[in-house]
Amino acid sequence: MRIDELPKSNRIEDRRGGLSGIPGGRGGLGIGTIVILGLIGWAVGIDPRILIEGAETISGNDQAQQQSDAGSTTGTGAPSDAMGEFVSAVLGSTEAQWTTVFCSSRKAIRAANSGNVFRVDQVRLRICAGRNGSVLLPD
Amino acid sequence: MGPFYCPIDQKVYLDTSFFQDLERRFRGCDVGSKTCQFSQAYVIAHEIGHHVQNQLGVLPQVQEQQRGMDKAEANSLQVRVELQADCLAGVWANRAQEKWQFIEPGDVEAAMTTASAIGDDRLQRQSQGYVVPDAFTHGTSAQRTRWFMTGMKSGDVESCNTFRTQQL
Repeated sequence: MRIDELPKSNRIEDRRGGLSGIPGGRGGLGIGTIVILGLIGWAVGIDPRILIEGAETISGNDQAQQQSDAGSTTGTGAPSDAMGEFVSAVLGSTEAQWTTVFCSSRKAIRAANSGNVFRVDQVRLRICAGRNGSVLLPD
Repeated sequence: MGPFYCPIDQKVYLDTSFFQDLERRFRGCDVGSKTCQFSQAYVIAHEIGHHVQNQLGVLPQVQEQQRGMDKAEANSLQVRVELQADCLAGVWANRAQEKWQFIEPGDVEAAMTTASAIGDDRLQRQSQGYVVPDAFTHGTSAQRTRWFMTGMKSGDVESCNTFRTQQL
């Protein structure tokens, strides 16, 4: 597998070497953990940085406390070591590919976004599947 | 700890030591080989697949249905969720290959070996010596391999409806 050509993602929190925390609090995934932020932006057509900041606000207090307790640092962005670059490339390629699947319909999603969540999901699905909006869902 | 997706904070958590387990403990790919990277990528793409499911409303709907089920039924539905994520990982591989030509000889075979290595039947047999199908949550080795390849061959999310098929 060659990663040179794959787009890189910055939406990574690198918590290797520290006491990482599952947001909400129990913590302790252990050494060697990378946390990747979710890919929210491409699905709803808004700046993912806003969502990331929102997520940090929700989960930040516990994490900050745990990191502080552990005396470790959390890097945000694409790590520069081989493993970090690899994860960044895989994540980046999934972002780009799923964006292609979703983004053609951002306008439709925005229009539907004023309604309820179920409608939005249906719109996304219709776009994704290209037809009746139920091809991935259970009955 | 294995990788997982948290639908609440919408993040994927990767304990990178799992990748070592994949090579050495589960024998999902040849130790130290370059093809192991694609196996690892498949695992990451599977977790991202759960985010796609979450965005599409699949996960909330399944969780709602699972509330009224007994353990075996809920597990059975969970298997379909996981196999769909395998299929979506295959869709990613297909489309990414089309765009970036990043797959090298042996990579797909390594991913298939990995999918097989982390099948519930294989893992249960290794850990307890026998298989309990009602306790499956991710699918058998054969199922995981088949659904990854379904997505990989088609590159089409429509091929990934694991909820409306008799043949998992």
